[in-house]
Amino acid sequence: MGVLLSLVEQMKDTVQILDTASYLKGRTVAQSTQMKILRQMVRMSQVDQALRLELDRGKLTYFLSQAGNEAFHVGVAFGLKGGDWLFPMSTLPTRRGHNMTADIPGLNVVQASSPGASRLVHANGTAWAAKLAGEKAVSCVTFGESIANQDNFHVALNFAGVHQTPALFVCMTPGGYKDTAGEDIAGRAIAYGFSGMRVDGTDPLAVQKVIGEAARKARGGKGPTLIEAVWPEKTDESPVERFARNLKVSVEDLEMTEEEVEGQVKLALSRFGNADPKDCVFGEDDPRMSKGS
Amino acid sequence: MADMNIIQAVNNALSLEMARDEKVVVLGEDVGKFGGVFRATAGLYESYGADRVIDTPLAEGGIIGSAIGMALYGLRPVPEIQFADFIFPAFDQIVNELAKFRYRTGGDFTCPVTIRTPFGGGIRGGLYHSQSPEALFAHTPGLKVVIPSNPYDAKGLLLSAIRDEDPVIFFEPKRVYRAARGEVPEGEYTIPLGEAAIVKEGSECTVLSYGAMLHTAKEAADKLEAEEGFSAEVIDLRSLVPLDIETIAESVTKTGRCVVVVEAPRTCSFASELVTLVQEHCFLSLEAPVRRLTGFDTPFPHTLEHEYLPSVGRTMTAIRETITF
Repeated sequence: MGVLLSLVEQMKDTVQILDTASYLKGRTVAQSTQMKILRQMVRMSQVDQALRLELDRGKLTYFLSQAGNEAFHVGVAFGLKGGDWLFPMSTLPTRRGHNMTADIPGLNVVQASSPGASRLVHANGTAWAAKLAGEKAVSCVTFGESIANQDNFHVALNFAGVHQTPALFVCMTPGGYKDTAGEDIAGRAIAYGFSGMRVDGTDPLAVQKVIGEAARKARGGKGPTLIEAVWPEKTDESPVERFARNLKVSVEDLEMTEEEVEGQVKLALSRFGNADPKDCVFGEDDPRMSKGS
Repeated sequence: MADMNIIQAVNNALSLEMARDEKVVVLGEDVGKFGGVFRATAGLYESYGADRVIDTPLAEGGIIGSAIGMALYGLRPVPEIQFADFIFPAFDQIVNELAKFRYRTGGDFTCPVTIRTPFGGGIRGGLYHSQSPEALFAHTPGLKVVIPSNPYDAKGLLLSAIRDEDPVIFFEPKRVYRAARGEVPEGEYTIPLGEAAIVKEGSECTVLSYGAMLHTAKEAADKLEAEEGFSAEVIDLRSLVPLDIETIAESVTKTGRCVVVVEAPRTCSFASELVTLVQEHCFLSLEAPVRRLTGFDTPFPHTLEHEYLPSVGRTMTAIRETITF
């Protein structure tokens, strides 16, 4: 009971760094790291905008914007280390070992599928494999709060709890979407025998801190963590603007040139462009293409 | 050489491969300390430890989803689904994830997962321990579907399946788990996936089958030849995907007739696919309609399982009627 109470106590607060007194006194993250994070957020925001334009022009058939979620995604990526595994939610353009939010050498990024919650079980699988191999990699999966309704949410967290895998389940609960999965997703971790944390999803430094702490804990053999990123009261200020204001820098100064954005978009779109679908079904020729027809 | 049944051959294959390749792990419900409900994993826990022979929580979707993650990480998981009837909670993971990983990542990630699962009726298992769902998986692009009928093939095919870079559903015919015995080399050997075996040569009709039904088909063909002088050629498919259509087409072109024997329900069974392929490849050689001998379009009946399963008698009738058409 004592353990449970302390877990509940721990989850009461939402971790925040930006706009807090200690941040304003310069007592938190190194300036150079902050600039790196902000630059990535700006890049992500620009690429997102360009991809939305491609969608409007009919050049893309499907793209879900992540505008407003830059702090969350970049914060998550910066909380991880090379060799870790990231299963980003379905809306993020990704390529193996590299994603649009962070250039972390050796980060294993697994492209998302549409069935949202099955990825939580995969992330637990890579975490479990790392544990079995005695390696220090952690696995982190991000998902929207509606995924907490699905059976695989339970399956993944249950497996993680039973086998104490180095897995980070990171839920994004933007304002206005709270009701479909009910309140307090982070609190559900207790039922699976590990701890939950809540963090401000528009504060990249707080997200990075929470992910980093959970990853350290996982690396130390202390099991999984469920993290819920929540959005504070709606304001007109975007997370990018909020961070820039705190850092006292101008967003415009950090923006990529039009050519650079174009290059990033091309890179994102080039991934599957010319692949012949039948060459990708099996390793060799699709047996049904060669033998069965 | 050793005399083994299918269970012993599977166990032997798993043990050899775990010794050869430390990336191979076995996981599932009661596969560890208990050794599996059919004893297929007996002794592995003692030999290879709890980190490689893993007792999982009872959740099939979790078992397959975890195996996918482990495969992404670089392991070669061999999950066991205790009965093929229990594979459906994992259907989403298998069809939407496992089968599509290579395709949707443009080849970045493969999932070398071999799912072992006992299937088929005839053991008084009732409607939830007797089903034959192989067609659902053969229908899904990205999965290989392998079904041995005897211990020698079980070992050689399982070793090939585990070493394959793509996911394989390995259906084990539980009715003949112990009844089918034979000489099996004690060392390692592989049988390539996608090569059918002609188990009896004949000239008047080709009989296609796999798994436990292969034994029924073979017995029927032997009896017809001994008692009535009809000559049927029996082919054990061994693998549905990839399918050895060359061997099938060559045989049917020679005999001019074909009977397919499977125990799954009739509609959309793999027999339907085989009949279609035979008429596509051998139309001008056919002397009679291609015949399907299958189970019935009902849930698997507990009290009528011997009436439900194609019997030696029904198979003899189907072959006789096809030859004398």
